[in-house]
Amino acid sequence: MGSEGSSVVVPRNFRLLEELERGEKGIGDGTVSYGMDDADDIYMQSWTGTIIGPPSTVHEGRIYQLKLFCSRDYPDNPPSVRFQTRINMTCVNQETGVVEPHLFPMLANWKRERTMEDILIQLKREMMSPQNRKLTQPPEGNEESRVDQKGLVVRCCIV
Amino acid sequence: MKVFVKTLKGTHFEIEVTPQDTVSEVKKNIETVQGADVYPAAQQMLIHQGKVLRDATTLEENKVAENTFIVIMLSKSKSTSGEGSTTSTALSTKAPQTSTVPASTPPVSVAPQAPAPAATGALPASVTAPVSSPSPAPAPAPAPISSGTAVEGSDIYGQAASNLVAGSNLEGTIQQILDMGGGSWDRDTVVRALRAAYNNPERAVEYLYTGIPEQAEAPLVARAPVSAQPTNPPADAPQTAQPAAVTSAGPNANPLDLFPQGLPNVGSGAAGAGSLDFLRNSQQFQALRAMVQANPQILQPMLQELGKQNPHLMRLIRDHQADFLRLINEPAEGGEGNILGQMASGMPQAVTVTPEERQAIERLEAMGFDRAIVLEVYFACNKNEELAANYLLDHMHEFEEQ
Repeated sequence: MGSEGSSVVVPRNFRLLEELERGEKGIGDGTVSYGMDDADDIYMQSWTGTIIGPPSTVHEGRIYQLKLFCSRDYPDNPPSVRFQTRINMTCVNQETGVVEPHLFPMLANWKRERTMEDILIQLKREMMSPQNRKLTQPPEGNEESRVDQKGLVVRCCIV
Repeated sequence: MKVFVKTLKGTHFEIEVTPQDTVSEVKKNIETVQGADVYPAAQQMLIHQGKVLRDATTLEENKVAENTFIVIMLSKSKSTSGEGSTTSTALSTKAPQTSTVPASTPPVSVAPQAPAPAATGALPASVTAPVSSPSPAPAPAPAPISSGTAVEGSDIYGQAASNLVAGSNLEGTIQQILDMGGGSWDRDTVVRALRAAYNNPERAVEYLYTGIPEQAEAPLVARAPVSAQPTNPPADAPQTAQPAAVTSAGPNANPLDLFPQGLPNVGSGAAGAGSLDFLRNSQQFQALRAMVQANPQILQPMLQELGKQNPHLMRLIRDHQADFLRLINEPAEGGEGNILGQMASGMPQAVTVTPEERQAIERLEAMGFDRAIVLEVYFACNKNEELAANYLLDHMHEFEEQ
């Protein structure tokens, strides 16, 4: 799969395995963490991430859960990022929790060398930006409502 | 197995757990190791690989393996954890298998709580204010004014000469001005105006209407002497034809006339003082005379200062230096003193016209200058032929213009 040239192009699966290993080792300050959503997923597409709200902001003390979906063309194309936890940010859609690429420069100007960890770190920095550190946040606990709705879906499937 | 627990402060510690332990038991284990005051079990939140661990689940279910790390964080509320465990229990009880299948959460239709206001920039409108520049009014031509001034100057000198010849004429002029005013001006005001105008009736009337300007007196004096020169050439012609008419002519013609004719001293004295007699009535001249008589040393600097302020008057004084000195030395008393002074000054003037001086005057005339001008300059330079010649040569253009 490797192409001849000045730089070696790492295949998708090897790249994802490398990122998975970094996520398990816990390199960093611990405020952002990520891992695969399902260990049995052969294509390693679905990932889970967590961002702990930075101090001195309205996000302090909150834990934001995210879903990252890496398609087949990752890392040539950026993954889609969605907040599971309710959050009020300038680059996040209020209803769906999707991070808008045109409002988040890292997704709009994606580079192959970027990783999911970089996305999480940049989102945390975005929380500390002047326009986001003072925004009124939805009340804590909405995370459970999402899970409830998810449970409802599950119950409908059973029936 | 050993599990690394990482804190937000950057420190980490190890705990001994088994895969079958539940998250709740792990939290109690951490509380035991670190202390209840540091990490109370009720407020602990454990995160592993991007997932928040539920209290009811086991480490094996969350895929926590040997030598992996868990991030610990303290939460602020306690009810959330309880609700979470309740919900998780329900999920596990009803559908244990489908709980592991990832399902997308349906979109929540909630109105945005804090919509970002769109920043609308107003378009700047630049309006240029029109600038209207008024056109300047055309200035009147200076030529007519100067010619008018020249005419007035000539009249001024003629009027002054005629008025100053006899005292009765001055009284008549004052009476005429009083009649013209119809009683609006008193005698003292009329006399003061005449003095300011150097005994010129027309100018005195103008001063009575517009007020007597103190500062304007100096420029007015400058105009009268300039016009005095043209009157000398016509005075010479009647001199040769009718000797008796020369009495009222220019004062500079008298010495020549006195020499062959031998006119009475009284007449020559009155005519001689005519050119500078207006200074006699000037208050400034009277003050100057008083200061000079008290302290004669200040006469020279006083004249220099006067020359700077009024060059024309200075030139007039130089032309009639003998008369000026006589005026300076005149006593300030009544008319008798003046009459005696005039008679005394008249006699030396006639006596000093000697044949030698007459020859000097003839030599100056041979240089090409007019006789009247030669006589004026010769006597102004105290009968010094060399000084008179230099003066005539230096001011040749002025004499030609006149």
